[in-house]
Amino acid sequence: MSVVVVFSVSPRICNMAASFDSMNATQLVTGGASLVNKRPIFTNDSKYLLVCVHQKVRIYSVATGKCVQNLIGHSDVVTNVSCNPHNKLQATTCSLDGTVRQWDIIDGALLTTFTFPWPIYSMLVHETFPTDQFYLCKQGIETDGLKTCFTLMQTSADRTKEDAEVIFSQLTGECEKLTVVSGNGEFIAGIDDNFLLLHFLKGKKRPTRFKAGSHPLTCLASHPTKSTVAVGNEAGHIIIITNLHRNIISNLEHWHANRVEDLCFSPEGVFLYSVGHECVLVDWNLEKGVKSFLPRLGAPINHVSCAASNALKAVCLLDNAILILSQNVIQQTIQGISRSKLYYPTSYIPCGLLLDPRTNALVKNGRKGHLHFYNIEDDTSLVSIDITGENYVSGNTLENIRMYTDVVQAAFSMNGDWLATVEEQRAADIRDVQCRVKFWIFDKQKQSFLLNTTVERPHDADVNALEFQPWQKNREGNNPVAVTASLDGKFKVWRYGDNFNNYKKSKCWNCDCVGFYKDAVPSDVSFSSDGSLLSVSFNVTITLWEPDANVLTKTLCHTLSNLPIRKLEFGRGQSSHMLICATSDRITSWNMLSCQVQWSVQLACKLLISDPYSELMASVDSSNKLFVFQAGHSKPLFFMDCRNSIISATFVPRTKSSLGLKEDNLLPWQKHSQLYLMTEEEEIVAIVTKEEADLYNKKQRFQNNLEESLPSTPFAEFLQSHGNRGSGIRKATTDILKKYVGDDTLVKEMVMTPPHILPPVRTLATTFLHSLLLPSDSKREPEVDLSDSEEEEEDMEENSEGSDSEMETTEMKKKVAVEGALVSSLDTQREEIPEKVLAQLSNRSRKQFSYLQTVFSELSIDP
Amino acid sequence: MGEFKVHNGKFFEYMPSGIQCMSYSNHTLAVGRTDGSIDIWKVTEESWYHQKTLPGSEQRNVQCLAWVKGRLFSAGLQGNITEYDLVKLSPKVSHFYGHGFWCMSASHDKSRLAVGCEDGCVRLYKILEDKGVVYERGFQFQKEQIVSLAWHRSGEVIVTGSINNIRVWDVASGQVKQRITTQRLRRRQEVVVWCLTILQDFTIVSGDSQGLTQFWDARTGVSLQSFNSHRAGIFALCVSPNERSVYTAGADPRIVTFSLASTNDRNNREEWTKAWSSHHHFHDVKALSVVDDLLVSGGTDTILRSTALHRLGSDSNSQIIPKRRNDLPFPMKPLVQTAPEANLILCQHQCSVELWRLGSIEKDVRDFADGASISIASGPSKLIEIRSKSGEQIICSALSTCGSWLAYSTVEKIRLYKVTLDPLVLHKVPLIPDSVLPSHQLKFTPDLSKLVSVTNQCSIQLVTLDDLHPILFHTFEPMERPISNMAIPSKGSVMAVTDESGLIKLLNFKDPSKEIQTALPRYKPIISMALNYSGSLLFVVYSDRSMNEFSLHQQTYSKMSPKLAKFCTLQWLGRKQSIVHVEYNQTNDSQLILMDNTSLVVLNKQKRPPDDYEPIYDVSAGSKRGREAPPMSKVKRGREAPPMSKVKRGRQAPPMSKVKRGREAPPMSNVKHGVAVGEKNKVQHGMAACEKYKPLLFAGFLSDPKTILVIERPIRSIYEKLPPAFQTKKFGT
Repeated sequence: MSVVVVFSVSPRICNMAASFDSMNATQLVTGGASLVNKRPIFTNDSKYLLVCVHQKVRIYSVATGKCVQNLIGHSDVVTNVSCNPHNKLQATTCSLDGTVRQWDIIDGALLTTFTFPWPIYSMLVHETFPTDQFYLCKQGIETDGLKTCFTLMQTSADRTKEDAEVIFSQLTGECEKLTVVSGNGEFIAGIDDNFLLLHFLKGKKRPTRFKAGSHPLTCLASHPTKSTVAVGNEAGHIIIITNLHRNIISNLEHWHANRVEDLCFSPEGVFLYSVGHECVLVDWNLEKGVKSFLPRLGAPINHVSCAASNALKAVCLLDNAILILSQNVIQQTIQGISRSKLYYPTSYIPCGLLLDPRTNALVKNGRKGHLHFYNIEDDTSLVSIDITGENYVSGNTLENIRMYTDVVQAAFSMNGDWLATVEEQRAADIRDVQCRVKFWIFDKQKQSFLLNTTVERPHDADVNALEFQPWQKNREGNNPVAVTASLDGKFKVWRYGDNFNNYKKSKCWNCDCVGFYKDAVPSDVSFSSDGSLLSVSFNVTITLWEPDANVLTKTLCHTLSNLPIRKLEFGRGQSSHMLICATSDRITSWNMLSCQVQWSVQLACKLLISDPYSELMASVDSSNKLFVFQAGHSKPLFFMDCRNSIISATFVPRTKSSLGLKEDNLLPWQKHSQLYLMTEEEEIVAIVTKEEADLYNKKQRFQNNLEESLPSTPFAEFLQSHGNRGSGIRKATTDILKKYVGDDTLVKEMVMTPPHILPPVRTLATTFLHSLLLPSDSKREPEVDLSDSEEEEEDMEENSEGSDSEMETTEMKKKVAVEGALVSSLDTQREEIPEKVLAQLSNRSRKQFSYLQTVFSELSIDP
Repeated sequence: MGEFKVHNGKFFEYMPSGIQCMSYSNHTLAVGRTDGSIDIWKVTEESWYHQKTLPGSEQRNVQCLAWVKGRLFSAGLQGNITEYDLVKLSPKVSHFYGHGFWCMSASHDKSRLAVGCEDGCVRLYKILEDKGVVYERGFQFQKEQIVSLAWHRSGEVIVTGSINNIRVWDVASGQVKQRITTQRLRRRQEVVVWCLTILQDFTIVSGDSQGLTQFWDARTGVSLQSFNSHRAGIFALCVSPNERSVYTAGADPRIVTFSLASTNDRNNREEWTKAWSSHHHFHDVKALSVVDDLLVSGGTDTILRSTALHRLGSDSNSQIIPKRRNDLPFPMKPLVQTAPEANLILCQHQCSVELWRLGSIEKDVRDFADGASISIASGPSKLIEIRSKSGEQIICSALSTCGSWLAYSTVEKIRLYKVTLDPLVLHKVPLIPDSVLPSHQLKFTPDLSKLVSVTNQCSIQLVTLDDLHPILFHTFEPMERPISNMAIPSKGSVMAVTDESGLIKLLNFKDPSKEIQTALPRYKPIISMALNYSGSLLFVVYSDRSMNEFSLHQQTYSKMSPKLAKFCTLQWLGRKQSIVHVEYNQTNDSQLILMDNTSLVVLNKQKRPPDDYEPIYDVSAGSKRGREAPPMSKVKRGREAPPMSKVKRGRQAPPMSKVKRGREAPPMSNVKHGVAVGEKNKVQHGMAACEKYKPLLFAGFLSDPKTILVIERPIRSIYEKLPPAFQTKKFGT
């Protein structure tokens, strides 16, 4: 074994002033926006949900859970959305850009804009308020540097700034939960620390302050009919304050252990819903004094809102999901890219962004112990796989995070058949880390990953790298192989094979071999694209192994940098002979054919990823500069200075369905795959051309009507399917109709008369059905069997030359049946009746149905 | 080195009995307990205090109480209606009926009593003018026993609660007007309507065994509202005088309030709303009563608690959690008598007395640090336990200072014993003359010649002590009102007595023929008083905790009296516990020890009074707890905590002339002086309180004037002896 130390370097440090076409490129936020920052609102018909997402309002259909419309126009964050109480088809929004806008919900069109001189943090609407009068929250003068306080102003659209009347001067807390109007528009309530403030709109009662307990209040809700207000506080108490305009009566209820996040009354005011960090929706029946629970919703809840029909509730989970509940059953889940900030002080995605090769979906850490599959192209969540099988339990204080298990590494095999995960159980005060490797196989029938093998304690220390061998079918052995590297100084090769258990014949993953190099700690592993070479980096040394035989073939080391190697990546495609290794100060490219350094560039590399389907590689340095290069060349193809801190990135292969752009409008290196970056705020950013960005924004505005995007009812679907089958027939039917409408008024009368003028369906139907029954005395031909009826029909069609006309009449009869509002199953039953019998029947029924006579006579005519 | 040694004993296992029922009328609250005794509390505007106890007996169960024009009636499950003599503290007359009585209520015109019987009949009794009641008639029988009953204000309608139903009766005809079947939460489970009441607008409020509080319309029998307010049965219910609030409590000891709130609809209807709830008890609440602006509650946990109502709902700044006051279940008279010369104490239980010898410490212990524990040489030992005949309750007991005489009195008679200590012989004095009446308070004169007894006839009798033939020496002229307190000096011949109105009378017990003219000023009822060693000074504590001192020679306030008034700061008067026991230091007339149920106060009249803002009571409990822990653990092993030495704040500092003039700001010289002596942090005023020992049963000087005896009864050990309470899940446990 020879150690080749290479000094012949071509130190072409790339010139950053290179003339790239990066001027044309922009960053486009395509996903990952938080859906749960503001409280979602149901429309008045409870069919849609309005959700504030950054600068726009998304309208989700309750029936499908899909986004059907976007209200685009605000130039800053939308802080509040509500239905216009004066016009139920309109929505009113307010934004930090200082405008209040009214929209048409159906078209998504902007109707009116009112501009105010300060950013608007919240807004109150009520049907008793005049249309030109606004109650708006702006940021108040800060008394101390710790808390931001808000001021509620009463102002009108045409008045100037000085005329605005201050209603509450100091409100502290989360701005949208600070103020509320009573259900009858009698007063406005606000919270200031542990005081409830009341401002009466009717009568001459002076504003009052009411001390509600000794803990700071967090949220409030008002009863829809009574003068009752419910407030929640930091200690988890809910205080229900009644009789506000007379002697105040208050009642304290306590269930929540942590602070009450949100409160909402049901539209009739019988129930009060409260949510908090316990992941439980509590349903208080205030009159009876009983409460019921909807537990284990998965993540802490920060908003709850109730539809006017009281059938639906929307619950916002802090991991960026909105649950639509109907009678305490989850009906829809609107899932954004789930966020890790809920569980960690900063965003922490240990798995990084992965690509599922099967669906081209982005995969990342989702809910605690889950992997979240996300379709980036239409910004929808696909599936969340529970890896650890643990329920999230909130701590007894908000700061106290309990011990939990999280997925720290994950990898997909080349074709997406296998998924490997590494999970670790961590606690702040426990040093012993429990580690587990799981292998999941994709089940084509269930269309999901099933657990195949669990390896408890695969290593003595943390696993820091996990990689599948690119598996090719023609290769010998044919068994997939994976490699894990750990801080205990060893890397292990895992192979899928026979189970050694004697009792059960199955296949599972077994440890094939263990490798180590001196006493060094492996930092990363990488397979060459054909899977024939495994490279493992130990400190400053790269070792090359033959994975099947587990033989060390070469060690590579250079003296350009003494820093340990952090990332290792083989090139793909044309540059598959190249091995890129990254330390914290430079990127070096090795040529595997010559075992020499091809090039080396000084770059404080933070991220290094490769496109599995092309020879592109991307690197992000510590100052968030993005470089895209090919493994063989040190000159970057593309360079961009990202504004935000990038924590992960991945290449996603381009599919034909995306946008339908011409190739000219794409960045030249992105023709085959699109690069997506994840920022610290856990937003997904794509690098696109300006044309692409324009097109994307245009696409966001839905052109069609809201109603069209709703799914059809089952009956409509049924009709549609039949209609498709017989579109030609329908035309023929209309022809027949025309034929008879011209000369027979009877048919015209029957088909064209509105159904409500016709005789009762009951009388019509029974006689009609009787006429269709087989007469008891008629001899049934033996070949008329239901199972053979199709063949029979075919025979019939062959025999009878006028098969077209027969089909027409069949359809005609169907039409009649539909007109008479007969059940649709009748059609199918009737189709099985041979046409000959039908002809006989029609003759028999001629007497009863004089106006059907002509139709059936047409049937029985032998042309 | 501390000023006092504290001898701390926890061996007296006094067991108070639970509260069964309450009745309030005319500033007097009667509290019936499960052992049949009835406590009478006097309620005044600024304070309320335990006035007297009517002893119970096993033959008389007190299930319910009623005041009728200042007369107290009780009814019980033995089937008796009893009227009490509040002067003699004994039953006046009892009427028996065949069946037990569950409930009783007086009509609003106070002419009749209605009782609900075990056999399912409501019976009416007419209240006679002078004493007792007479049976008038019974209503129609029903199958189930009648558990609760209430009169409508008009006197025409009675509502009764029984098993599974509520009935509305017409008083004139005795017929059922309305029958309401209660809602069942669980099938095949009987619902007992434990308590109900009817409001003036014919709304029935009922509390049942399922924990439901329900509001019904009595005229139609329709349920108006129903609240699942408790998790277990509701036993008690009461209505505020304006009938806008209802309070309920029971086995789930939360007290839940319901208030009338207006609904904002067109006809301005009002409906009941669940308002605040308080969780102050931890065992069944059996009785609730509104006393002026307080809600008083009591139950199996034996503690009478009160909650202020006026803070609630009156204005927009009202608080949600009301202030409360606890009254520990100990009587206002000391249950412990000491014989300092013999190191003996006498502990008075419900039906027995126990004579204990205190433990002793090693002699050579001299120097010990403040707060240090001293190991004991010998623990306390119980010498004698005397049980009263056939379970009669003991009203009072006495032990002579040398421990050679012992006496106790029941409702029936006084019993006197001669005790010889070495060897221990108890000799019962057999022939007490019949003219010696049952006593309410007993004391031996210090020279052991006589037994002084406050009789149940409001007079004072002197009995000469003799082994065989004690004779009635003298009977003083009876006072107009019942005598509440008596003080006898160690030397001298003049004793002081006070009656319930606060009149002080001086009597010469050595030579009863000598009349003493007294003209001592009257202020308020006197709760406790003490005479100094020579019998020249009389220290009194009034019901509002204000203090005063009289000089008996001058027959007027003593010199210290104006200064004592300054000791009564707001902080002192603001505490609600009555002073149970006062004692002069035998060697130093300026030093007194005062005791209430939660604290022990050493008062030095020579020092300056505390300023308004100066803390009397030690707020910082941190160090207190640290000290308390070790003796607690020792008690379990040795049954007596070792005597403790304790610094009483304030050493003998000369009183400052400035102090008298300016109470607002402490004079600078004072601070300097403090620094010079090195007592920067010590409070120098003359009132030193100690809340370390609580609940206190007794605190007083032993023969050594530097030693204080403290008898504690940890409240937790009382609770350990109670039956298991309804368990409620507490978060985080």
